[in-house]
Amino acid sequence: MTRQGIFVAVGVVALLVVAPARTAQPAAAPAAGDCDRECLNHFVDQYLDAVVAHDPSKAALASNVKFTEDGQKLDPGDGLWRTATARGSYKLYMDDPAAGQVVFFGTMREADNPVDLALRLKIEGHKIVEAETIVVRDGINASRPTDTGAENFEKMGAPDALFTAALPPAERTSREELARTANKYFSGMQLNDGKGDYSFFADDCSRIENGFMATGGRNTVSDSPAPSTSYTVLQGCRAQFESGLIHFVTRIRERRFVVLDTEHGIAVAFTFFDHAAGNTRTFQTPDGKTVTVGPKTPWTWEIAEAFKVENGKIRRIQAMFHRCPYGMASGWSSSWADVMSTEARW
Amino acid sequence: MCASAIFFIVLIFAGAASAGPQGGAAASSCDRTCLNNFADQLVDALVAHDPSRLPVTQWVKYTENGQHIELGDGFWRTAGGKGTYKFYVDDPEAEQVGLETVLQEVGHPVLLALRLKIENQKISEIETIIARGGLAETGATNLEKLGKPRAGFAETIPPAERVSRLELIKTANKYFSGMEKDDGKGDYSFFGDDCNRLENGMQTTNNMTPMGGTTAGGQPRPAPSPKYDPSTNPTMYSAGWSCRDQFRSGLLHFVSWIRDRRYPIVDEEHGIVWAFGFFDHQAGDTRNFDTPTGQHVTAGPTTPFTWEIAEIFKVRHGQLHEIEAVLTQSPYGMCSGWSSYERCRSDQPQW
Repeated sequence: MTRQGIFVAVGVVALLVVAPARTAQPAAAPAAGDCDRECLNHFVDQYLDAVVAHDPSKAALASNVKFTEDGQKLDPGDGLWRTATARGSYKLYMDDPAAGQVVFFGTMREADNPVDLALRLKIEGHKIVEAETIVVRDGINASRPTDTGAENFEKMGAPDALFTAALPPAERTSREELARTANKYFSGMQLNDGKGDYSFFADDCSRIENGFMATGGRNTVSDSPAPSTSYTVLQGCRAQFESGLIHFVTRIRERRFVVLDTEHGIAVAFTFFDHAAGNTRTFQTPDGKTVTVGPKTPWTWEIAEAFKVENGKIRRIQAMFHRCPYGMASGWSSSWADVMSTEARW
Repeated sequence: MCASAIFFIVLIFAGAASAGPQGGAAASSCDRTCLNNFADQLVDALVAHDPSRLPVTQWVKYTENGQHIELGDGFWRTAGGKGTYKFYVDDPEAEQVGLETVLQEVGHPVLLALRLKIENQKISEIETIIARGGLAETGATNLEKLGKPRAGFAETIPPAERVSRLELIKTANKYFSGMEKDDGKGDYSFFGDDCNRLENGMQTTNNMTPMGGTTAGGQPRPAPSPKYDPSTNPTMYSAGWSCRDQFRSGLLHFVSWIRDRRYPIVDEEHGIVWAFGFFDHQAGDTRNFDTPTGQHVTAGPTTPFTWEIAEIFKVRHGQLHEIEAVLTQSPYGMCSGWSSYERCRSDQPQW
């Protein structure tokens, strides 16, 4: 995406924030938050204990609760509810008391195999009204097809301390600002051309994808192994974007920011990364080189991605994702237009 | 499924019969030649990556592996050369056509199951299932070697022996009802003695040639055994067995639910039914069951698992003879994009 493109994208988000239609969004008027962080985390623990017990009655589910697993609406008790065998030791809770929502990134055992889990709960009236899950059962790397990264997460012992560190009150921003900064990541990656303004990345930005570090310390393109036709995990967040080599991510759609924690500077989004393949695999890098790279067949990642934002810059990224049918919907948008939209919403 | 349950489903059919299009489908303005021509046009447009050459209605809907995406996206960008295997199933009455064929995609053969609905000489619905990689690639190559559909499919049913659309669907639906939570105790006389099934181009009945690969549960696929013999207490059904014996074994019990059963294409003249459905494998405790001989077995996928499937049945004299399917794994519990949520979550037949 060009600088102008990013400007337009950010502008669109900014416009949406002030547009009257957005006043109905939780961002402008989150549901009354009568469930604090401790309360939200308790719901997560209770829910996951119930999943392992294969007993939905042990979770405080509202009678009209909606549950999805990997984008599919299922009955509570189905899917992972039948197959979970234990909770894992990696636990990252990201709370949004104002919206009554919490996202949990963690590890589980399913049929005794380690899996990653992204879980979103929405609480109303001290009941769970929404439960959204992504269960990562396979490796995302062709060289590690069965490694979900769950054991890697557990070797870390605890989540990166930045995700649990509160921001000094003077550095806290609005929910909108938080979402706008995080959304620059998606807008900069979609049809990435290396020519955008990537100053939204902090110099020490790093990213973990399904338990594996996906970035390194090399923070400029000139620092990076060259010539290359694909970005590398040796590069830092910014250098990867400056390379222009992520162009094959053709569309990042259904960008739902579900947790905006201004106290900790955390934004969490559920979204989809489409790779259209075909002739979209061929493009020019900023130095004029024509490369052909990216998935050869239509490919979509279903993803939950968490951002730590400080002073308007992204310092940490953590993602849980897996492959899904190309063009899949989350089950949480009200229209096909929303499923296909690349606009951020919260 | 027990005999009484099958009877119950038949009763449901009887009760619902008057509501289905089989009672009065619109007069057709698109005959078999016309339908096949639309299917050919679609495939030509696919490999040209150019949907603009197609006559489509203003609100044409396209799905690929259950996802509603824009016409021109997905497989439209990657479809390559056309194969030679072409299996058309025509339903002039409903103005719908199915085509099972082989295409190339970035140098690999893939299987395509395609459904088109025609309205006023324009395409209004395009539904595709694309099976890629693994055994589907091997099977696509098999179909190319086969060259054309099995002869049984092409046989015309003598006019005096033809049955109604509803009767054909009822017979085909016995396959799904018999497989769902299969307990080996049903009445499987709906299978002809010569029944044979191809799944993604692989012969999965009466076939003693090892297929290789893995099962849906990720286990190495065992070598086929020649004949179902309950006294040997088998713990996994075999591709070496007949259609009927696979069901008699009760070893397909791990297929917990066959839902969103749609029967959009019926060819009474040839006795062919084209169905779509999803095979859910719930895993967990549902993997533990007893066979008809009282043997306790644990089998099937260890995690929730769904096949999205297009299945074609040849029905003669109330029995299934040729069966052919295109299937691909989908997220557990996925819907087709063509049903309401309630129908997606139902194992009752729709037509």
